[in-house]
Amino acid sequence: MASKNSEVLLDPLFNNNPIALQVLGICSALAVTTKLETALVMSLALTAVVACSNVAVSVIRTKIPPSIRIIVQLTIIASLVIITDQVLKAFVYDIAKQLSVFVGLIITNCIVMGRAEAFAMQNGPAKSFLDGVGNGLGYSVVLILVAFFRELFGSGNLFGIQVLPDAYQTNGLMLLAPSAFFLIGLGIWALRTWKTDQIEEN
Amino acid sequence: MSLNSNSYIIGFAASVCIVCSLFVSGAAVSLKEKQSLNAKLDLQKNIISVAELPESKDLSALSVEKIEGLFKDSENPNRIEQLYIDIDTGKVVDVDDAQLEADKKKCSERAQGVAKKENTAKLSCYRQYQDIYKVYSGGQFSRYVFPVVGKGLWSTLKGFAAVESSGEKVVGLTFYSHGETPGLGGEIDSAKFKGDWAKGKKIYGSNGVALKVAKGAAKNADHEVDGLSGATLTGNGVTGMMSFWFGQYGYEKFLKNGGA
Repeated sequence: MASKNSEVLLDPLFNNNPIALQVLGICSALAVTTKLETALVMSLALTAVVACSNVAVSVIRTKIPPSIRIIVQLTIIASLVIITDQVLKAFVYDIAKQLSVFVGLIITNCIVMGRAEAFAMQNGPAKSFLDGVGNGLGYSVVLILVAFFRELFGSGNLFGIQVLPDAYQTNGLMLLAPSAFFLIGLGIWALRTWKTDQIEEN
Repeated sequence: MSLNSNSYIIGFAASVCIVCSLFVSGAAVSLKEKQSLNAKLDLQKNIISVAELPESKDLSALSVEKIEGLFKDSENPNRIEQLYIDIDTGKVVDVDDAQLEADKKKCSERAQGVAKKENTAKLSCYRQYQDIYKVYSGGQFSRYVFPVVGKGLWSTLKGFAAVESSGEKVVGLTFYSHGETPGLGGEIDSAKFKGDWAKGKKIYGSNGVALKVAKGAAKNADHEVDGLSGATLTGNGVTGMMSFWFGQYGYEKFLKNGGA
């Protein structure tokens, strides 16, 4: 486990990306990436939840009875997700409407549980916070890249503003879930070509 | 006390639950007012978007006060008036909150009372008292806005249809809630689809309601709008919804009685 604070924060971006290397949290990466705006809000929501849940779990880590630790983590995560959902509905109603159930599904996002169990249970609150933010950002990088290409080629827009000329025939496939698989696959391929140590041995 | 003793585990679990529930209910209660205001504003903005008032052009720039002014201020030359009609008789009625509440409770029963073949909108809730909106532009009554609801392919489509003051043509359609496939059925939200309706489509043909989302290009431009490619079933849902709401179970009686 990385020990320096900067490594804790920056490692998940490319060296140990939760989506590209650990292949976690794919479900929402398919669902909310048809538009940049929703992907951005989803990224922020997830980053906030991972960071807060990591801190909360880390603070009480020595007090949690080992036999019920998973359910305690889950309770904390679920509460944070509901609060996030309520805040989104109160302040960015239009986007919350588009994200619909996917904010609620952050609960089941393996990245959040994974970080709580793998990192926050062993490390102090400050470091856990950085780890949460780092992993949130790692998730965000992939989400925003995928959303960028899907919105650009699928509807010719970026952030809802038309950027490609009218003559461009929009590619409907980019708006369907399989295209996110293709893009994430290509992204993983590119990343592993760049960082060869991520290639799994046969 | 050890971390593994039963009483410690139960005590710990209980306190985690209490702390978490305090946070969650605190957030829910403190934000509730803001959320319901947002939901109401969203609805009103959708009504304004098909009302074709000068205010409709730039909805995102409308302030909360402006929106409320349109709905509440009876001195405003541009305004939107909410009325209730009895859908069974087609007449405007005065109803109070208690009646509306009671009506809501028996709406699923009423929906079952509609023959399956007639229920083209596939409603599971069919209320007797329906809210409708009269739009005044520059002091003149300009159009009606009717709520419309129906089943699409995946989801329930909820929206508003605007009808010109003579009651002959639909001159606008918008959806404020649906869960159709983005890029395919979701295109019922697109400017093109809405623009097609805004051109004005005659509601009634020789055989009752003739509004239709065509498969492919519209053949009869008086009544039909162009279909959406890859979204035939969503289109059929919109057709069914319009047939229902402008037919005998919907606003037909109201419109044929001369409106309000």
